[in-house]
Amino acid sequence: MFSSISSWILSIAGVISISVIVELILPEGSLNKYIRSIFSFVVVLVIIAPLPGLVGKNFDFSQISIEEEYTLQEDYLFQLNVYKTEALQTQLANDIEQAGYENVKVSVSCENYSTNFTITAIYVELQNLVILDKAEHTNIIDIEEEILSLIRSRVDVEKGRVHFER
Amino acid sequence: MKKLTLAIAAIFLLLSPAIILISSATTNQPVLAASAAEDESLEDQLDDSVNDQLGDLDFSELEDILNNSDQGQDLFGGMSFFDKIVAIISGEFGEDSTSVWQALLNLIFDNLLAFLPIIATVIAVSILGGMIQNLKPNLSGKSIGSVIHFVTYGVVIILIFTIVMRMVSVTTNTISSIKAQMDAVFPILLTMLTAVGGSVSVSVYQPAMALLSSLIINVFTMVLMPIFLISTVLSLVSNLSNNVKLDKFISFLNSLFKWIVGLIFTIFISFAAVQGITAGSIDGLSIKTAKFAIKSYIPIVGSYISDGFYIVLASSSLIKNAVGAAGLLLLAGTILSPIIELVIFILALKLMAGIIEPLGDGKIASFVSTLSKNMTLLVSMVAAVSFMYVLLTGLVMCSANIL
Repeated sequence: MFSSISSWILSIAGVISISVIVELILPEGSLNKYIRSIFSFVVVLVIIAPLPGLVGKNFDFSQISIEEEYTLQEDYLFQLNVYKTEALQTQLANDIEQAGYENVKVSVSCENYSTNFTITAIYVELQNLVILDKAEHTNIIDIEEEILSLIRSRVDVEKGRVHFER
Repeated sequence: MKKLTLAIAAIFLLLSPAIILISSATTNQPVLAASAAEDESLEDQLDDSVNDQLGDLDFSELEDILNNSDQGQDLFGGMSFFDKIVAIISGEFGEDSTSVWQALLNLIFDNLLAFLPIIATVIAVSILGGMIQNLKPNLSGKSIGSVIHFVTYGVVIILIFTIVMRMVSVTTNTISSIKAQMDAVFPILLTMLTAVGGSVSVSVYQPAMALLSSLIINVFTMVLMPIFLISTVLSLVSNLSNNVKLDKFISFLNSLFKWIVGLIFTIFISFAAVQGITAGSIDGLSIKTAKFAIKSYIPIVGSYISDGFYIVLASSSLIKNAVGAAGLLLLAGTILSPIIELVIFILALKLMAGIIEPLGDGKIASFVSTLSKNMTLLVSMVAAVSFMYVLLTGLVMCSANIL
């Protein structure tokens, strides 16, 4: 395609250059006028010559396709999941401690090798539970209920994904 | 010319909100905390989180590009890309604007001095040619005049076309270097957008970025560049001869060029902007509702400080904006020198045409002024590509900000 375009342009330029040189060499005379008009005619011919060939030709646009897909820096995203789970764990433990239950261990597990942060399960260990004075409940089932609602106010997880270990 | 100046002004206008965005993004964070002590601890946490995250990102491609660009290194003040991002995040952005102006002035005067000898030679040759035409004895007839014109024209063409070819290669190099920058910056921006949680935005920007860096750049280098070359060659040839004129054909090619650029530009920008802004607002909503169901709407100071999760997200968003801003700075370093070079060349051509016209050959003057009009096509190519890049980066920086 490019070679045909460049040959087209070269032929236009060539015809015009030849016409100029011929004009220089030719002596003054009555014939001059005709030769000029012939050269103008040839230039027009050369310009329109490739146009009929364009009609009915099938253009192949598949060559200029969008081939690029950007690859994300997944290592970073996986590492970020780790940071997010760590942050979430300390945050949840903090919340629970403020409600009056000490020594509760919260561990969040998520899909580490995914680009989105999705929580698969939250484990709450209540073995070493110390109930402070400011706590509302003393019954273990009520405590679990309260911790569950605390967690769910913070993170959007389903009820079945939070597991308690007594 | 008017469109050109408008485009350049628009680029700088678009760069300035990015700068404002960055400075506001960096200063807004600590406002959340109330007292000074809490403020400090929050800032420390944010710093730690940012440093941790920066350590995990890979900037090696961008460092390579920066090392290969002199102007970029000037604008970065000798810093590496990584250092610049750290500096932007900590709020040290527009400190050395004087050095930027100094670099700009140096560029302008260097280019002026480089073009001066050629300007002088062209003017001298064409004035000499014109004088010989006027002073030659009447007996020798018309053909001697044509020969003189032919020779002067040839000399002028050879002189000017050495620069024109240099400009063409400068433009193609600039465009391919912009493409290399896009390929380095866009993956990082998309990664950061995913990290912040802008999944809808990612699905919008990923195809837009791929379209810009492959299809649109290809159209610019493989369709528009040949059109420019054709119209330049034809303008050369058309002024060679007295009776065959191709001015209308050249104006057809030029308007073809302008229509292609305009269509690509309008369609791309309108789609990217409309989709991007919509996606950004959807993401902003989902980030707010999904992650902090209740607490984020009740600003309790103590709770915010313990919000480690929030800090991780906020530092991702800070890094995203800093990467965008540093990328735009790198772009400015890349396009500044070629655009100034091209603009000064255009002005020099116009000056030449103005000086040659009264004394020398009318056809040489008309060739030089046609060429100066053609050279604006090159500037518009660089300006259009970088404008689309700036716009896309700016949109990514604005979307899915957690503030």
